[in-house]
Amino acid sequence: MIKPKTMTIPFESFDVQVESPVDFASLKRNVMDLKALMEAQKLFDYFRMLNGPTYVKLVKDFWVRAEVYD
Amino acid sequence: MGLELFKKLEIRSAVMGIPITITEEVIARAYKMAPEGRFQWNVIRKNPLLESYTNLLLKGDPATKLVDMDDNHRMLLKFITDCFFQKGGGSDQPSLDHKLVLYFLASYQNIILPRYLMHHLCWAIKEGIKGKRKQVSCGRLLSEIFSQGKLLEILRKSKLATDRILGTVSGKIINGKTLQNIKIIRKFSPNEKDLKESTV
Repeated sequence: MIKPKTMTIPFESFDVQVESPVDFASLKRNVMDLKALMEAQKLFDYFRMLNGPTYVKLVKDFWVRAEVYD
Repeated sequence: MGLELFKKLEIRSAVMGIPITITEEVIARAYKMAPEGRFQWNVIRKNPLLESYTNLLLKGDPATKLVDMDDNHRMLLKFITDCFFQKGGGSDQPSLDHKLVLYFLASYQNIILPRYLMHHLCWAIKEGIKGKRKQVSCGRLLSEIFSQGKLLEILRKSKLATDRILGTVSGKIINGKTLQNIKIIRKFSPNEKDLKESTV
């Protein structure tokens, strides 16, 4: 059975926000070195993960049917 | 077929008919993150850590503008607004929750990012269901979860994984040019090694 939509906003009206990848090497070359801080705070793997594609249509398909259970 | 058992905060949906469930643990697995560190949500104005935020980030003066914060702190705020919790529209001022995230990062305290992202996603979905929010949060994170959850593999086997069907895009890169745009440096020095959106 296909999961029904939970949102009434039209599919095409949604704007998928894509997190910005960070070029830490470029920041360092321009005198802003934050890589060590992010590594120390165990966040660097998150930033590494941001270097990848976003599948807008799949994300919208997920979003319009999403429900929160809390 | 009975009702699915409910255990903790989770998001349930489906993509192209394939059920997907997201929890804090699923997010943590997406980028191999141990769930340890600070987490405060629905922060109230009387939270004493907000005074610590003012002391450290705003140099003790609540009237200090965000552009007058230390350069490193401005970039940490940029990470929060562009890489963690994108808001879209409205005020540029960070919420009380995000002020504490900035304080934790600036004071070298680890945060439980998967828990923050889970709460942010749940908030955004609830707003969408109410018809109040058209922005879809965490597009890249959700795509990574779909990818690791074998969804893409299934779509590829069904020959449904073309860029046109998936709607493949990449995010706007934060780099030295960003420092120039927000006037932290005067002139950006490009380099052939700079990351490009086509290679992200």
